[in-house]
Amino acid sequence: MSTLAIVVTLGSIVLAALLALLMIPVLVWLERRVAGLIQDRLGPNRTNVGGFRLGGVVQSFADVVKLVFKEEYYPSHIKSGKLLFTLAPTIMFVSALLAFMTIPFADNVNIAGESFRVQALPVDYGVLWFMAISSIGVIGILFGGWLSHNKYSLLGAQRAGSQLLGFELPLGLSVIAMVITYESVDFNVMVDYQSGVLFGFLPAWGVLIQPLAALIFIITMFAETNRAPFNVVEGESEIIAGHMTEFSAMKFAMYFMGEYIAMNTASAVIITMFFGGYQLPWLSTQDLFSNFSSVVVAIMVVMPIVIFFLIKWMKKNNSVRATLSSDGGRAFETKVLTIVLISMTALIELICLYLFTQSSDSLSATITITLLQIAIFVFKLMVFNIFFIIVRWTLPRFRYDQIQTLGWNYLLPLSLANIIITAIVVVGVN
Amino acid sequence: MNKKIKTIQRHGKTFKDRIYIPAIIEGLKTTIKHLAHNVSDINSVDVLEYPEEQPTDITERYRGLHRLTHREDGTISCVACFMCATACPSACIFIEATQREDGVDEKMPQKFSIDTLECIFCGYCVEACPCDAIRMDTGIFSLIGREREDFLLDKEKLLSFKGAFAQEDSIARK
Amino acid sequence: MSLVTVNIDDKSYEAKENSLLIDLLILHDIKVPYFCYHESLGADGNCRMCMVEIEGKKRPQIACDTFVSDGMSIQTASEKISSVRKRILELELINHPVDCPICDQAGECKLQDYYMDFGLYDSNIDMKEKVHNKKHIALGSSVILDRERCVLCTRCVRFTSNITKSGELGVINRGDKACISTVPGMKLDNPYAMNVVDLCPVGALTSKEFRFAQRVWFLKSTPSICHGCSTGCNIFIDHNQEKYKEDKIYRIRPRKNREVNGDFICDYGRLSYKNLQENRQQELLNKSNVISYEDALLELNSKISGSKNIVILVDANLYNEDIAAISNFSQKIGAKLVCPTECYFDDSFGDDWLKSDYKCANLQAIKNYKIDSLFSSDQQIDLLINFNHPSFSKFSSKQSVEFSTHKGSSAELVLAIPAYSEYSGTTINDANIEQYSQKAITTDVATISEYLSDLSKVAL
Repeated sequence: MSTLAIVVTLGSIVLAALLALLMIPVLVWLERRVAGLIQDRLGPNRTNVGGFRLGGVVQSFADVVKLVFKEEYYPSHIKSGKLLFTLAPTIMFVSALLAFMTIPFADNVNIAGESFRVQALPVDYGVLWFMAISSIGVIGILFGGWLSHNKYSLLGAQRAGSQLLGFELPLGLSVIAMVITYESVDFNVMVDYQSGVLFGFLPAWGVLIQPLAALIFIITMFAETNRAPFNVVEGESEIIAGHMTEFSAMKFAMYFMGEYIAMNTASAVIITMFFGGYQLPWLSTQDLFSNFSSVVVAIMVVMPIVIFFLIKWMKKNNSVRATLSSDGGRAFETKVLTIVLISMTALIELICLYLFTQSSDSLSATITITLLQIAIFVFKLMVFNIFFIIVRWTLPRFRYDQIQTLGWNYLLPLSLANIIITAIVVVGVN
Repeated sequence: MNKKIKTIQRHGKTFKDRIYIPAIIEGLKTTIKHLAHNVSDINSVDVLEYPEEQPTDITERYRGLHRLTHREDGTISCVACFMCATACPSACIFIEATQREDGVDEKMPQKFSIDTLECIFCGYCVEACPCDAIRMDTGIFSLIGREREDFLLDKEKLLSFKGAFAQEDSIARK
Repeated sequence: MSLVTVNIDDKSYEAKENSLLIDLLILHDIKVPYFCYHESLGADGNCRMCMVEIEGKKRPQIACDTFVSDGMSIQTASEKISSVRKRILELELINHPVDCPICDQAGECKLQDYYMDFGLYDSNIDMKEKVHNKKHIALGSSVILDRERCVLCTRCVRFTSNITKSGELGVINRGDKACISTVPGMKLDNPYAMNVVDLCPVGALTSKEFRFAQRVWFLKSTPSICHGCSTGCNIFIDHNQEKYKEDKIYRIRPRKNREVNGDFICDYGRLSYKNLQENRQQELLNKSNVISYEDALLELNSKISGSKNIVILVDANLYNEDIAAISNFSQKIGAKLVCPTECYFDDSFGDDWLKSDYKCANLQAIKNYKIDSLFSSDQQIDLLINFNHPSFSKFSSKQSVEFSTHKGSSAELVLAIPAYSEYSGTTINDANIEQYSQKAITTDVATISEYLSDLSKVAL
């Protein structure tokens, strides 16, 4: 392998690791903050480092520190299963992390005539990898719940297992429908397909081509990741926290993080398969390359506007009511962040001015477009993560029998019917 | 025999209810509306930022920390009748009575302590007192201490608290 | 004595001919208020509270001075009677101070009870207009008089003049200035003086020992027998265990027993509760070192098995059950059982009413078990086991064991036992009546029977 390949692959691994792992504190913070704001209260907003609270993200890091230093103990009943007991949450964490590794963050980069995938695992069977690995996660839950020597944990774990089974089939069948439509199991081809047009004016996104498959896939992804409204696994046993009851400190942290990584992966897969992945609607990567200077101009114009509104919003909202005796350093923080944002914008403007002079075949063009696509991907990822969180705080939990009825009685026949219709349409069109 | 048969309409059986998606959309609308409103103006969220903001709804009726009232001449008005100790559902008032020597009354408490860790702040003691000697109108809602002993308020401490509203002294024992 | 039928509130009752109507009402628990009547003192007729309507009589009559006759028909709860009671109660309470928070009688005060049962009217008198009088006057013998609270039922006056025949108390002045007083120069000073505290229906006469000590509704009354002398007067032990504190006796009151003590007890027995709680032996000691229960039994067992000439001293205050167990024990180990009784004899203590010459509770049982009261021996005593007898120091022995309730024992092995208020048992008084004392205070000290039965398990 050439050094370029190694560099690109390493870069992709680092990017994937960052996106997955660094997203965890952000997701935890988002969850708590968005939950609070939906419920007409504030989420965590006090933890700060020298006055910098960044909306409360620092709280997540404080939580991490707490979890690391917490007392580690094992229930006395498990004697021979201690190793597996410690390993169970790790299984779930690792499988969720691995499933994220085949998601493409940008289109294939073409440097010096070679084409590299911007995926941590540069394989071309992304969908199959994802389907296979994400199902392993439930083994971690089953092991944990069973080894806890606790009736309620076992119950929670069994619920997780049967829920996964029930929704794995509709998931697979809707994926098959998508595979038939896109004619490939490669994520990159799927995203590329979605850059076209549908009926002349709509972007050819998966959600518009196959609305039923999209709906089924989103619903089953909620169930696979044990997110509300399908969280009988952890919520139903109520205060007893289901399979995570007997785990303390770092082991609990692994479960916790594994859940958020799974949610992240689910969002990533959904946007890759149905919402255009790392691409802007109607524009394919080729279009971006051919109109490179327009892209640069667009960035030059849009960026300051966005930053301006961001600073204005921040000034208004990073403050406290007049009745408070102190604002905890928020004024200082706003000032610093404003300076940071303005200087960042100035830097990007300068870079854009430089790029303006470059042709669309140069390396800098490739890098720019790649970075742009990564940014689009991250933005769509955040939108979908917030969607996951909002749904959690909107819908009440489904009862266990309602979940099973939904999975087996409704989603399965629907997904089967979807495949048949897809097949007919595809054959008919061709 | 006329039997009245009343048909109860069951809900949730229409097609619109059963596919559940319209209901989800309705719910999401409400949630996103709240979210958007609160994110655009975070100071409009109705939250009391304690301790930077203090509560403004402490009224005369609010049952804060107890205090023992004084007579007009400044001496204790409690006559150690044990009504409060009897009425207390948590049995957290400990009284020892003694003869009062200054001629103002016959009986007074030698020891009067309240264990605020056991107290449920129900106000029965205030209602039971025939002498308006114990009141819960200090407006103090936060009692902090480092040890358990800090929470056992003795007679001197209870006499030292000031009422937060009008009517400083006992109205029944002048 | 022939029986007559009386009709009270449309129910008929049987009564002895020429008995008092009020006795009949009290016997059948028919609620009738009265202040001046007392079974042992008789009626005085000055309170007028026990009015009942008798058919055929124009006005309501007082029940305490009415003798039953055959076919009498009584109404105790008509409207007229309830109105009469209200008015009389109002008159009693005209000058009564609102002392309930301060008064010790709260909770057992007849004025409170009758007001709640029969009164409940609005008062017409302002506090400032009430007639005032001297409060907390010390009369002597730990009795305190409060003249403002007195309702002049004259129970105390009649007690001192008719029962104790010492004549210290009387009513002085007239009208609304009338009050109770001691004869000038005299103090209330007789061995039964504190009974006036129980007799007084209101808080006018209170005990200085019990003053402000505890509220009456917190106290539990346990029926027991006084261990002051061999009369065995029936008492109530009033005790309470406050939160986080020890169970404590606050006072002793007399219990009605027509055969033994009537309605009264002497002051010596009334104040004997203090001795039950002070200076008590709590731990088991071996040569002044605290040891455990099991070690004490082993030590006792080794002492017994290593001795030939064993003498057991038995206190005449122990219960029958204890004496029986000790008697069996002494037979088993072949010991001599002795109870010298001259230490209990005090002929200056005994009188012709309730106090007897012997200041021990169970002398009759000692006699029944034929335990020697004198002991003389020329042999040296190897082991002296003393079950709380006060004459321990008069004996000398090689080794000694004492089962003691109070501190200050000079024995080598000291084992703590409970006092009579802390476990149940029976005693026999000097009229040969067997009476039961109930356990009042909870302790975790083992009783004599428990020691002896556990010892027999160890000895095996």
